[in-house]
Amino acid sequence: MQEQEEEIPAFIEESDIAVTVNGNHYEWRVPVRLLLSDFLRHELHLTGTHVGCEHGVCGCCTVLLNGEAVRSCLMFAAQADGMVVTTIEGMAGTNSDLHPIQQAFQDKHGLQCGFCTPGIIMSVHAMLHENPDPSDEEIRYGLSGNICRCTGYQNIVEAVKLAAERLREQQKELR
Amino acid sequence: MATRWFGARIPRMEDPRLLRGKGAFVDDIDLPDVLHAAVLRSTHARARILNIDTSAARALPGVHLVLTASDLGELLDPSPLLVPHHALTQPRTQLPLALNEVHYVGETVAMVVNPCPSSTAWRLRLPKMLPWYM
Repeated sequence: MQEQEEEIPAFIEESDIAVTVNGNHYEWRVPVRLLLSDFLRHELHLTGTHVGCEHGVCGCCTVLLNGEAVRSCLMFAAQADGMVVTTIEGMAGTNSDLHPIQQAFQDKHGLQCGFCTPGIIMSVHAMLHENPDPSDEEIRYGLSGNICRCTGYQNIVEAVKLAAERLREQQKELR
Repeated sequence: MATRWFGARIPRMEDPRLLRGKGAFVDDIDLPDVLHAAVLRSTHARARILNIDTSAARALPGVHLVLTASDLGELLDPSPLLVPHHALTQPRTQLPLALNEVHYVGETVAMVVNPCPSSTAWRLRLPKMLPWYM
């Protein structure tokens, strides 16, 4: 016989949040149980952040929170109050060129159906920020939180290597 | 004409939108008045369902439908055996929702339909909605 809890889930309570997403500032009233992933997809209509498993396994919902890669399905929108969120839609910036990571994925055929791609690109962005010259092993470790069912990962690793190389060159030119 | 594409690398047309998060996967399509379903599943490998009280879930604002096996009427038939085989001498397929007993962890027990995707699953976790197992 299982225990019958008396507590009613708090899906009716709401909270006011202020959050910056891809450079735009939003002040929004959200249910306290609203996931950050659902906030991005349903409230802001930024559907590039995908929801695969909804429990932190597949990595498709990865976004940057104050620059760090997080799974947006494992946190509430209310927890992002006062923070800066970057999604895949914010990667290419305002000009028409793809971000070097995105370009490398196209050049190395690092995607097929594209469902996992936004999450992978966000993870790779954080990975290369932390370690601009990762070894193959470090790349594979960095990608271990993202599941891709199409590519077999080989071309994704190649894409990350190319992206790292191009980003390092870009950094050199800036100096 | 077309032969010059053989052996050449052809850039995929779909990549730029997929890489920018502009793909249109089914869940990305925003249709008005879409309802969302969530399924309550068995937490037991083998148990009898003594009672499921759906009245509290039905009474919640926004809930369109709550279903258990006893609500299914003539739809409560085992699924068809799509691939019959002579080795299956006593074929068994499952019911859409468990009737009176569950046979594995994860078997479908009840379903709720609700307009809000993020609260649908929670609507099944009402204390009174939890089935009593034995």
